Amino acid sequence: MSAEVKILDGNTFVVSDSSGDIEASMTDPTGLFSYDTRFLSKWVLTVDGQRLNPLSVDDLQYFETRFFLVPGTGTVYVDAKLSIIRERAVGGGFHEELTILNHDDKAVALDVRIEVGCDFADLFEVKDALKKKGEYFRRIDDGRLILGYRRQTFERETWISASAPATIDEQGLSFAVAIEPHGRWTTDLEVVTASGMPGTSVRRPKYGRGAKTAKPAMERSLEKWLDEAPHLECDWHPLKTTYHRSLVDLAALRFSPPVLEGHSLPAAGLPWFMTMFGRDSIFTSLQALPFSSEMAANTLKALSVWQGSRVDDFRDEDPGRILHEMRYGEMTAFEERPHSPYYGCADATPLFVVLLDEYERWTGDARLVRALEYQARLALAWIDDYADLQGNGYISYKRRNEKTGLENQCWKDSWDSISYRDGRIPGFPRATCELQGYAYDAKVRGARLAREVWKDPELAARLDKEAADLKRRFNRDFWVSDGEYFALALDADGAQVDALASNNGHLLWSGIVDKNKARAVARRLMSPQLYSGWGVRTLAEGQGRYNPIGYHVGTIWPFDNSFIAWGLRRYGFKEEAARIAAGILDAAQFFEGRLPEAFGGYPRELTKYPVQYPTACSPQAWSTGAPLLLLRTMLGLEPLGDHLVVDPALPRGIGHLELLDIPGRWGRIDAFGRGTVDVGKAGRGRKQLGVLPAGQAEAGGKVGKRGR
Amino acid sequence: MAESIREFFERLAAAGRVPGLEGVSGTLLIEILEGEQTERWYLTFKKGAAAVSRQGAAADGRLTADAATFAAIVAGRTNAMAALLRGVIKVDGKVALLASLQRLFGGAADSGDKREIAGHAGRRP
Repeated sequence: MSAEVKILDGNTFVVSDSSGDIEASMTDPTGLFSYDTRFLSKWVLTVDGQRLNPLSVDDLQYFETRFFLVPGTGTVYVDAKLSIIRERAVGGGFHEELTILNHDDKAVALDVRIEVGCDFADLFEVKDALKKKGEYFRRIDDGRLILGYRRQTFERETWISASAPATIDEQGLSFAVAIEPHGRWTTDLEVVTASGMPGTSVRRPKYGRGAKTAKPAMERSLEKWLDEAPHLECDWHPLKTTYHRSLVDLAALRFSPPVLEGHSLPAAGLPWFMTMFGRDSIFTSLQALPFSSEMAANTLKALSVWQGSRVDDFRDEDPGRILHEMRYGEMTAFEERPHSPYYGCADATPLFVVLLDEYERWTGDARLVRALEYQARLALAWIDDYADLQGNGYISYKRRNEKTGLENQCWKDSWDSISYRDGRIPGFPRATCELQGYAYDAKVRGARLAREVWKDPELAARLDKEAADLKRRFNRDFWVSDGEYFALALDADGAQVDALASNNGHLLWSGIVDKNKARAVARRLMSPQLYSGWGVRTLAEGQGRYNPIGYHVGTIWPFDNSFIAWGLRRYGFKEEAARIAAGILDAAQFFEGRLPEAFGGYPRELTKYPVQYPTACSPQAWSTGAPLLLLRTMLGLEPLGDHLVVDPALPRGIGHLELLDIPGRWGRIDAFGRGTVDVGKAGRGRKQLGVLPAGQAEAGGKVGKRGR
Repeated sequence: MAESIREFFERLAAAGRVPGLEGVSGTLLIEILEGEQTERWYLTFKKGAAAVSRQGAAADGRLTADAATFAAIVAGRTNAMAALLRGVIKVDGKVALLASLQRLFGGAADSGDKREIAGHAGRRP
């Protein structure tokens, strides 16, 4: 298959080849997908029986694309007298405007055909290459070709129709086309995901002919969304491109789960994760808070609706627990997968409280904090009542669904992500360190909400006391004294899982790190073992399992780095936070402003460019949010009562940075930052960030003075 | 009509309040099919208060299920969301109301000793 073209609208998306055709096998994620089900696995255009050859593809907007094609495939050049244009817009299925231009001075008669097919695969089946259990049907009804799949009461249908006269058979649509000299022929093709998620039936695609205005899954148009976002000015121009890309991708990645009734939250990423994830939606909402608070409010509401209320081993559900992942496909419907929703993650519940508090600090919206008081209390209770599996006062995880549950219930969820320094893998339960940080932060923030909004000083005092106790124990039990950093986890025996990993940065962000240990942690994060020049690696070089292209054991995750930068700022390490921002933002240039999920952990001076991780998801919500959070950390934005504190620390190479009209409880405020630029080096190649001028060799592990 | 269904609604009516549903408002019509018969229950939520009625007011959403399925759902033997995805139960209108109902179905923990229910070790002394 040639290069993939992806367009999306919420959790409906199309992945095709560069001529616009779809020929999916059971195992590759191409086709038209909606609510985790493939609604089209074959969509092949021929003219006189011949496949077409792409001349160019224009990605017009995230929801539409245009393919310019000529007859003839392969390498043989064809002196084409015909051009074919397919203009496709996704939403509720897709709309395709097919136009054929005759450049000849003779009339032509053409046999135009669209061959169609659908396997109605569940995204999980595509991922794991599984067989279908139901039966397929096809029928022609009222000028439409209907492709369907049925398994007991589970039914999904795709409707296909055309505006021009067509002969419809069960395999596709044929058009007998006559075009005058220098004339044109055109038809609209409609593909409708007619029965998808129950209660959200679709009758027409979202876009019609000539649609030019995006209608993302949100209350306002894309133009208005961009217009209402803070305005960025910067003398280092790539940042403007990256910022714009982030805002557009964030709009594109929004989807409106049925429980939100038209409101939307960020889905996690294309193509595998176009659904609601507790962790991803929360992290992305946190990153985006200085730019838009709406996603945070919607995320909190949706997650609270689905908050766990019972003990259900299949779903790893407990009362008060916040969901991990929601899916709508066949395997979920028949309980062959537990995602209805699945609760197996140990961080989303404390992070739910963290987001609720951070949301209130930015917006002053105490009404939502009051409306979710019950849910927030349940979430706080979960930390102590259900997450402390070992009775040692720490959150740990061990799946109860042994068959289809998740082994690693932290953000580094691949099988080998948690290891000892020597590469051994611990058993379960595992108490990873960042979970304790989130729990600490949730208690501190929960105490503030209890005191200031819920007016419950007793709860506030208890939470404060528990937080202080947790911090004291954590700094004793997790501190690897011979390495001066925090262990990645405690194992089932309470012993340290002593690998050095990026999780230390999240600990700074949470505030659980004792002040007298913070400098050592910052030094570790900026050491050559962890910091590659582009960012902090998930696992340090020299550890047993380190691999620069290992998913969670050496690659660099932009999202991870944005929170590490926030953590460094929290403890006053401004210069180090700016270096993290510099590396990640510079890397973004290589991806045209769209940071992938992860890229290789190779040293910057070795590869000169960030090596993309082979199967990284892109766009991915929390990578899209990373530049937003980095803008916050560079400008040092921090709400303080009804004011916004601005305390900029820019990386070398950015002379000035302005963020205008930052929304919040203060109305709108402008933030300005000034930095240093090396003059006299202009015109020598790309203007890079994060590379120190000659003579100032990067001293790995250098940590500046504390800023506060 | 299975006794458990009647008990479910009676329990709800008696409770009058549902913690956690403070942000939910609207009326859900629940249609329960048993043979030729259809039983209708109207559930109205307003600021955390729940009211149950057999008389038809306008509804914001409708859930249709056969009696056996609904009995299994309220008893906690069948997961409502999975049943909805399978097409065993149907909803129109406000889907959010159905999601909110999950808190009320059987198996949901109430204020008892949760640690015992979960079979987990308790908080460290």
